[in-house]
Amino acid sequence: MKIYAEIDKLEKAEAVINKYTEYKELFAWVVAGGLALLLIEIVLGQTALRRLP
Amino acid sequence: MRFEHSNLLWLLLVVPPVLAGFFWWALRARQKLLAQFIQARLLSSLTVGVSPARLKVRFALVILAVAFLIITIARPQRGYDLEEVQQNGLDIVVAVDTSKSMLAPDIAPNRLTRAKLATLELMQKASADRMGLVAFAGDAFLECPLTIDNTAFQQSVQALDVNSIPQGGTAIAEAINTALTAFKEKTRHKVLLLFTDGEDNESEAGALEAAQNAAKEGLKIFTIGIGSAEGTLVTVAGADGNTDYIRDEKGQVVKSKLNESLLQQIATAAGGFYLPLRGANTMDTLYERGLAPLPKSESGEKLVRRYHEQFHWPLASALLLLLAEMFLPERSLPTATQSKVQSPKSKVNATAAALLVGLGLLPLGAKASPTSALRDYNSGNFTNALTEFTALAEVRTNDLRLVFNAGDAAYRATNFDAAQNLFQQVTLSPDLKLQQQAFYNLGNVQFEKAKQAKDLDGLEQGFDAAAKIYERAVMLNTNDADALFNFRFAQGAAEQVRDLKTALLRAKGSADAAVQRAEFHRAYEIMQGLAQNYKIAEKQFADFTKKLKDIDDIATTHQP
Repeated sequence: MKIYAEIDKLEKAEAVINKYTEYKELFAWVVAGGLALLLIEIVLGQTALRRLP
Repeated sequence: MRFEHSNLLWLLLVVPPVLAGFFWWALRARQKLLAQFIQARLLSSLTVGVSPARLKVRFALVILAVAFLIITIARPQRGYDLEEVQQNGLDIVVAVDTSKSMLAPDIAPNRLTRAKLATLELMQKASADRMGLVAFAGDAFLECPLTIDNTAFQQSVQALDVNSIPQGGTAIAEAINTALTAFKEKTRHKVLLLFTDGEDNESEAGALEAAQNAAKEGLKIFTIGIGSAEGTLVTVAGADGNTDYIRDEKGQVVKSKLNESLLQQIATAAGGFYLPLRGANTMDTLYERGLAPLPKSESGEKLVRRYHEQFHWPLASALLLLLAEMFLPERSLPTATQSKVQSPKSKVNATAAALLVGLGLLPLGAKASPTSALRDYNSGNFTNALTEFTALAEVRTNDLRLVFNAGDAAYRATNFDAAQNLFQQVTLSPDLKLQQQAFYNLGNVQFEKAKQAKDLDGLEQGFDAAAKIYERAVMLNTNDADALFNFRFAQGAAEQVRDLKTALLRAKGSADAAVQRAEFHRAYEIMQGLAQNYKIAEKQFADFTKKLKDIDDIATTHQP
């Protein structure tokens, strides 16, 4: 185990690795959920939860 | 501009119209419910400021926001970056000749150093590919297995020297076979780069055979010749520290020559080509002509379009619209609309102003009828205006302003009975402003009616009644100077009538006294003067005056 500590102390060479990350856009699901909730609110607001006037 | 999910845009044709229809239905349902719920008399005060127009604006905002949200989830995109994607990366093994002949300085500083520099240059270019390193001389050894770790590869390359492989010689066949063991995955393209001066002192036939076998396993060999075809003497540091030329077993100096024909044959046998390492662009040429086309030919796609998402614009618009909808007040402030009311300036103008105020408060979405009624009113066609307003008031029982306007038209049409009736309805209005104006106008009507009275008593009573009504108007709005003025005026008129009545009575009294003194002519003169001054008196005392005249006539005739 001691050897690892010693190895850690040794000079380190910097490695440059080209890393490419491709993200998938998932916001559409969130927005679609919000849109659905909004529509539900609109319908309920004018029917079951209607306030007058 | 493109849409990632352009199919979703069809929702724009469906959802907003359906929503609009739903809102239209909701508006009607609201009004119906309100009518059932609240007495018509109270409706205008309970719903003051709540106009269908305001509601429509809110609905429009919501519909617009929904449309923008649909655009958002359709993912609008504009412009793109081309991104290099190597789906089938290359596996490149570089085999570097480390035989002593590589120390020949025919290309400066020497062959091996140039080979190492060229290898590192290639590593920069083929950053997406995996690279491995084989050193070979009389034997071959895998110095660095295939890796994407450029640093590790670099270090292996820099560690190469002519002592890497202790056995002297140039065993190209061995190098090819060792390189083959480095390739483990079958799917990737296998490439071997052979840096050598091509002096195979094992067997040229063996090297070619190895190349042909490797080609069967899908290995492509590119050969890079280092050195000059003329050859050069190779110096080497001897064990005693002196430099000496490399000599063969017989002690003859060995001239190292570049064997280009062998390298050409090897490359051709394994689907590659031969390049001599000369000038600065050898590696560029090798990569562009030899390596870069390889993945393209097989996978067909090297560049992918990465589109720039633009969804944040419609999303932000939708959010702003929803926020605006949230903060749009449900009803306008009562003071805001009523501050427009101008206090009536005169009796006639007062009614007109009140009328205009009444119309100004009408809902925006109202039908054209009030407008045509107003047009009639403004053009002086008061009877038509009255009819229209009355009809309107019957339809919209909850709007006393229409009744007020009808009363106004009736007043202007000098239909005082109707006006009185209508204004009296409006005095029950919960809207105190309207009520005050109704009282004011009712006072006007009463005053006009009083003027038509047939006798002094009627006049007096009428003026008193008018004064009382004006007083109500004043009480409701103490700042209404016109109402106060009219109140005082009516009071004064009633007072004058009372004075007149006493004056008349006194005159009548003196006339009676004159009659008692049988001074009929004197009595007649008094009454006639009275009639001349007061038309009303003429009517009231017409009989009396007539009698007096008859008597006077008789008396004068009979009197000498």
